[in-house]
Amino acid sequence: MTDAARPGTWSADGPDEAVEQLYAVHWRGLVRLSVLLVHDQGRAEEIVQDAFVAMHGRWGRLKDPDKALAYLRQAVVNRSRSALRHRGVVERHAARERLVEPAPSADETSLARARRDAVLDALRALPTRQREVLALRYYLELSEAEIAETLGISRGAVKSHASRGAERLRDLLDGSDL
Amino acid sequence: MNPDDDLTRALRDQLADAVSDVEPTDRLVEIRRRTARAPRRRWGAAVGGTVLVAAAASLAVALVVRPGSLGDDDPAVPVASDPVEAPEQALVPVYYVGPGATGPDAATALLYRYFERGGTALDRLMATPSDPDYRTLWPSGSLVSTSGPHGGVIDVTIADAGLRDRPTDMSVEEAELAIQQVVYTLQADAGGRPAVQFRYDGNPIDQVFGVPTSEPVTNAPVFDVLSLMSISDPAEGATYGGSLTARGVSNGFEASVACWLYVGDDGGAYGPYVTTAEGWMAEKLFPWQLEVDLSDVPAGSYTFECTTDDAAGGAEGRGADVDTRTITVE
Repeated sequence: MTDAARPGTWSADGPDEAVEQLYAVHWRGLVRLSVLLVHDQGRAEEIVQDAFVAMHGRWGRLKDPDKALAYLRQAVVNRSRSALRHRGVVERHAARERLVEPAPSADETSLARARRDAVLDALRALPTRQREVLALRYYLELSEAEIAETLGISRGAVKSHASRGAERLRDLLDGSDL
Repeated sequence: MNPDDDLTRALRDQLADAVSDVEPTDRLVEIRRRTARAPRRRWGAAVGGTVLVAAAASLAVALVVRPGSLGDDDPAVPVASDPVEAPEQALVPVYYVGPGATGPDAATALLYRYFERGGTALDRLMATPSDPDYRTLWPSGSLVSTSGPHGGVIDVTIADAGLRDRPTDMSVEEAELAIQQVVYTLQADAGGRPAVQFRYDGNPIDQVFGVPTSEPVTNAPVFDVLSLMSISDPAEGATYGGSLTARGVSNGFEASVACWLYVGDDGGAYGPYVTTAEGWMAEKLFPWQLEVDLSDVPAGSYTFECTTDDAAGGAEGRGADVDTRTITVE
């Protein structure tokens, strides 16, 4: 299973193996990506789970770990966007409460929690595209070209969303002790 | 993109930190369960996509499609294929819930039209579907009666005021699909597009499964709730020798339809058997028909799968719509 992390040793010859190997390496990262987009861990897990199921169904077309991973990323971003579209403002606040909160054992923990929440809240205040570009650029560390392909927009658009989003995020976080 | 390395580093650290305590629960077992049920293969599994589209276009002209014998709105009525079954029992079109299409933007569940043999549409909505790939969202005894259409409206009476509210194990999407199961099924039964008024104890009821129903409910857009591939023939479990005639309705890229016969889970496939439907793009389903020569296919159990083409190759959008039947070749 750990072989999946090393290029050249990919051995998935069927959709089931592909799911197992990609799950082992990318499940947590993709759920975290979706949390950055929808700010709701339960929902994020459902979204990524659906994306894996869809990837399994597409395996005949993908047949390649890089393509499968690109497909997963795209499915997670698209499904996260749909999830937000279908969710009202009220429910968004309720969703925040559902975030899994580790038992606070020290002041440091709750401070860290507050800091993390401030970033997630600020991200949530951004326009959808800016939020997506920032998450792909700074969390997944994708290239401009990869982001353009994932979102189906031009590289120029990626650039402008990235700079506007970064500026806006910095403004929003100003004064919140970060 | 990299005007300021400090800013880049700060953003990277902030985003990584923001989700650093998110430890997702393990869902691999659930994913395995959901992907194990129906093995799904795509066009590209045996032939390159472009080649196959060309093949579909050239073979389509050679296939026997009988124009004139098929209308344009819900016409693909299956024929009796299993001589063991009593021929006098009528075929009843029922809309069941099945898997969504394959693309990243696809809904997770869609409605499929299946022709059951015998019974009323209402009874069938509350019974276990003949094809195990499908399910119904209406429990036994939940629907009492139906009448009409009168003045463009069909009445349907629910059995219990408890059906007003959405059960905790039913999603909002499923609740809407449940309502549309009834609307599409009763419309098919009536042979038109009348609206459906849900009633309880003689009066219209304000909501069913949490979905507003004070006014008569019309059918939701085809592209939102229906699978764009539904097989009419073969029926689930049917037996064939020599050849089979497949029929169905679809709406997919360039009207292409490809069917395959799969042996077991990974035992190879016969096909593609290809044709083109009578149309695509307009928001409705178009009939298609194709012949499969079984003379070179050994006796045994097969999964017969038909799929639309996915122009985007799975990269975006809805993806391909797929329907399957289990059949026996003798």
